[in-house]
Amino acid sequence: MQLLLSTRKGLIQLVPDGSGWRTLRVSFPGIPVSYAIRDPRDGRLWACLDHGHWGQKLHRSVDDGVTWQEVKVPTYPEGTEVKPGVPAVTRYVWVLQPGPADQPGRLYLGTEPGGLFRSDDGGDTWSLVTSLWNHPSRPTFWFGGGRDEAGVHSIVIDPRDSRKIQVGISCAGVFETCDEGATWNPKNKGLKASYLPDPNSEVGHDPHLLVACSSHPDVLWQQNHCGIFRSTDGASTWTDVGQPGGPAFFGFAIAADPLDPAVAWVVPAASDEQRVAPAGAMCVCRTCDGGATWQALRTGLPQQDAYDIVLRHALDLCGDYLVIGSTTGNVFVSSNRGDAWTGLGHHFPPVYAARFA
Amino acid sequence: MEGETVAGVVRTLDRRYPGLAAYLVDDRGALRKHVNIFVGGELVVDRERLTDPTGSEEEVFILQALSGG
Repeated sequence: MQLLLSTRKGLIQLVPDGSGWRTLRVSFPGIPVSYAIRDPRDGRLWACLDHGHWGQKLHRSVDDGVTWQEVKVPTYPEGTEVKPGVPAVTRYVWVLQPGPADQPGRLYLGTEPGGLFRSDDGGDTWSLVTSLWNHPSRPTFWFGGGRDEAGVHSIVIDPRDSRKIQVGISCAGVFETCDEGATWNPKNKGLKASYLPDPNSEVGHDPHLLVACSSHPDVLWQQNHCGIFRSTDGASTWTDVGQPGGPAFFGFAIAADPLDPAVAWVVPAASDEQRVAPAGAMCVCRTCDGGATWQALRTGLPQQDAYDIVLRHALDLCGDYLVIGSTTGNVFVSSNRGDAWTGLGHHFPPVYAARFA
Repeated sequence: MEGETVAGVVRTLDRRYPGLAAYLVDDRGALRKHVNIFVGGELVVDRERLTDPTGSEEEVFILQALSGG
């Protein structure tokens, strides 16, 4: 097992060492890494870089990060516009999602300003999924949330059928294709967008992160801007399972247990206006009953003077292990499903993503 | 160096160092926000299409701004 920390100052690889963890290596020192992941099919590492001055870059490694090869980052076809007069350029790479085992070479990439890209040659070349980009809702109901333009940050491939994919877009909502991207439909029934004139709008939602229970793929969860929502019918309808008044209500990250469809974890933050640890105390909330109740897990986490928030990709699960990394540079690991946490370090750069690999 | 305009110089550089252009200009070929190019000591005027002329003897100086914490 390995841990990939995508941070504001590079990619940090950690490995277990006795009862703790140690840094294996740091790649791209000083460069913001928006996301990194290992492709389980071939073991390659992928790193998405957000250079301050040089734009977005994409790198892959076939030797566990010892050396990296730069791959051309996807670009929008010439003439593509976010809106009339505003050319679409790749402003941020939110996520890279390896394809399923039955589609070797297939990769997906989610970007700002809202483009989903696909590769069928292991990332050598990419093409914009124009069917989603050209969805009639995009010009009027897709907009920025946190960043200037809409972003594709969640890509969920149905393990039963590789043609079925759900994506999470902020702000737009959940969209689904059942024909490998030929057509897309919004899947936001039951969500509440309290910031919109019509909170029940079909599109315009802000699912901070969309995840699925891999052994029960019709069970999906999302930590939404306006609460926590769960679906048991493949995203056709959503139920609000957040705690009114919190702490399990606002946040960015969510993890679903791959085996038990009733179990999930979130990392609460205080209100959308503040975005800090609730009452200065970090906690992870876990539900074991489909969101009916939530238990705040605090053992080992700072309980005073904490300003940490955990961004959408900075919570991950592997077996009984959980990891969280905060924008304050704190990284905690639990080996017992969140019951207790151990700090791996408190002086990391701001963490954008934490992934077991 | 070949190229009668700044855009031509960037293209030439990219042939010599593949991928370099993507660091200097964005997807549309416009100069990235925090990159400046000087021709003969003068800042280029056309940041969008890099049509500023370059004489064969003139120095083309590429400057990256460093900022942030």
